[in-house]
Amino acid sequence: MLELIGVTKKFGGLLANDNVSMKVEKGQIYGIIGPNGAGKTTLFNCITGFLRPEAGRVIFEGRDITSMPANLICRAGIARTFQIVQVLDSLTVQENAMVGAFCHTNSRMVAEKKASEALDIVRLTDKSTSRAGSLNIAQKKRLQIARALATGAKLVMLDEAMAGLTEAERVQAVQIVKDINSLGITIVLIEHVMEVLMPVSDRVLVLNFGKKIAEDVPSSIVNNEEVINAYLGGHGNA
Amino acid sequence: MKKYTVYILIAAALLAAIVLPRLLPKPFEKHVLILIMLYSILGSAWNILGGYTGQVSLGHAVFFGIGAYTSSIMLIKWGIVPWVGMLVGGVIATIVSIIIGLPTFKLRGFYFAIATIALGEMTRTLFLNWEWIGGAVGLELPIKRGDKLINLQFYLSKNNYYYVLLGIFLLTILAIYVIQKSKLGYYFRAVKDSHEAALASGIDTARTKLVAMGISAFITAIAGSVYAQYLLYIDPYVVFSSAISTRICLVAILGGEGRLFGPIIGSSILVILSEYSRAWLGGGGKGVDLIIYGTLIVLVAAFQPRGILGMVEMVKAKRQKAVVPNA
Repeated sequence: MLELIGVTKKFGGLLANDNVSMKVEKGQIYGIIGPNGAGKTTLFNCITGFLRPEAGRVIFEGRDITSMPANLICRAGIARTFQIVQVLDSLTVQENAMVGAFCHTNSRMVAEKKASEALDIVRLTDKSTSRAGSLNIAQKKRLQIARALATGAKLVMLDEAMAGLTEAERVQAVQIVKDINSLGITIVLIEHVMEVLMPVSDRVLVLNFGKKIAEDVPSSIVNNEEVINAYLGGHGNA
Repeated sequence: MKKYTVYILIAAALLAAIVLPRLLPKPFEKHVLILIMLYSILGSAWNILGGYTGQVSLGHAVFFGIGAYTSSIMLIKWGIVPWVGMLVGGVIATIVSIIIGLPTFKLRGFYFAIATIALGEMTRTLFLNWEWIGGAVGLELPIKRGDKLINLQFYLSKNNYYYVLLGIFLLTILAIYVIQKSKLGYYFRAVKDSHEAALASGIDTARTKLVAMGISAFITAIAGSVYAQYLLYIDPYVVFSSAISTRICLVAILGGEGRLFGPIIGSSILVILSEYSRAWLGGGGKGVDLIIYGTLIVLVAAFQPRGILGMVEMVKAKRQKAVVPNA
């Protein structure tokens, strides 16, 4: 469904993504992990059109979407959330989701309905008339997901949807991710906490210093020596 | 508020707006009313771009002047009635706004505002040196007696200028109301709140800003045409002055940016303050009116950036909280 071939992104002399390739199949939950600064968010930005990679290609449903503007990528069916939450503070929760829903409709009624459905999935229905700015961080993260869902995306990319949440909130977030996946929507997740990502992912990509160091099923990833080195600081003697 | 109370309030406000000029016999009072209405239109137009879409323009006099000049030139050179000139001016202003918007919307925040100031200054200089349209001497509009609506000139009663402006104001408010409720209105507000979130929702942010600017410029130019018909004399300092640009922006911000009835509140306060302080202080106190309303703006910016309507809302919310604890 989504394929990256040798994506490379530089910031000045820094190689944020170095020749990264990956393949996400339809219906999967695909995890991307790596220590801070590994280039996870940069890779997200390259896929979703917020950054242009210097080299490599991004292919979505057989279509080359490399360097397409972000809004068109959303229309093509990839929606995303942000690590630094981006909600529309002055709009209500319902209106936030409606903005996403307007992606494929001009009708307010249709948008309202789609927004309500999305809010249902992320369990924010009871907050729908509150201003988005008044939500707590966990709710804002869920609202971002609702907006992404409301766009009617086939692939939803979640950037640290669970970081900074309490244990209870995290359990709920994981359940939401599973619920969305059960609707047939493919999911790509970024997390830097392994325990969160491993149990839900079908496949995991590990980045370190911009390079792909492993891509496999979670059970193999946890035993991969290079991954252990990257996470535990080098010599494998921890 | 119940729906029918809203209707009654709207009807009452409308009736008051219609009766008001008949209750004020002095020409100066009528002049003040006309300016209030003019700036309500201009503030509402600015609000579409600045208030809803979050792109602060300090160069709206460009569109105002284009409207004034287009209808005046068409009337002087070719005898075309100002109503037609007005629409042509609106279209030209829209085209110019898109030409200005294409490069400047790449700039965000303060940089866009600075660019619009520069464009305002450039346009005035251009018109000052453009002989064909009168240059620094300006244009005198031909006088048409008879108070015919088609000529948009009224001598027997200044009230008619007010009613024309009131009509345009109501149309503007209606248009904004419809936009607010539509997809476009949601997109405007999304672009204002978060550029990233807007892009990620499939919004073409650059195009959305251009649409906002185009509509805003069109309405601003129309007001400019009426103003030219009211003054019957224009020159670049009259219609392209940066003071007009600032005033347009202040009117919207004082009332409450991004609020339907913000501009009429802001314009009532600002115009009354500046016109009366100027009249009372006369030549000796030149500029004092500006000091007064400058102070007002500083106060609003410091204590209630959401404007007067924002303040009203806050007081209401506080009261509700007092009634229902833990709400």
